[in-house]
Amino acid sequence: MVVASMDVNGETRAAAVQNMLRTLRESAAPDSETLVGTLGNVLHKY
Amino acid sequence: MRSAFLARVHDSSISVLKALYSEPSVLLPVLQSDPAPFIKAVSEAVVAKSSQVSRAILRTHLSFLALHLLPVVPQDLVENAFSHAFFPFLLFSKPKFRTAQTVWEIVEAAQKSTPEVGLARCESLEGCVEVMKEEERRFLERTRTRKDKSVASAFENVEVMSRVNLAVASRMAGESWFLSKARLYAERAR
Repeated sequence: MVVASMDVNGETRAAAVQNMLRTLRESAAPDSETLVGTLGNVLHKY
Repeated sequence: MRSAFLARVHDSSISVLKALYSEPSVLLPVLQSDPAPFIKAVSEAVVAKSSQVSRAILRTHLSFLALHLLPVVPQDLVENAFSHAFFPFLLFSKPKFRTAQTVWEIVEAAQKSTPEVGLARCESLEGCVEVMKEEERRFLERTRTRKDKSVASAFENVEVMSRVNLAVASRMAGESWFLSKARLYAERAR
């Protein structure tokens, strides 16, 4: 039982780490709205 | 977020460590601005309770350092990581030869994957992999000649262990005979 609960905790912590990485990845990549906005600005200049 | 990642370095769960190192391209930019605390944390995690750290955990930490982080940090940090996180596991002994072999495999893989930076440029390691491979080759040749199938790995053999240990220790001590021997072995290996 103790081992099982330790595994669950480990899996929970692993999921939390993956969530942090996902947040970072998503914050680094421009989302479609930002991209459209940026492209719109660039196109507007020309 | 940096401190949250740093805290997870000390996690004893292999799942957590695999998750932590699963996306090097995402993690590296977070660490690169100040990599020293991360290297220190990994060194502490692998060495502090080295008798309790499994080979899988050690491999996970050191592979990330060797293959991803060390190639993108200044060379003084590479030397520091080598001294504190890698060197404690590089010497062979009967109970720890598999661990030493694992760490040498990581070092060799890193030197092949980024031959111009990181551990490939680590002064303390120069020529060591070549010496180790040559000792292994000689041993395997001897066992083939004798048709001896009792030893699975060259590094289980006490003579090979002590010759590799002596070579590595001599390199650390900066003995000049070592480099000429290593260069000779490297030329033969080509």
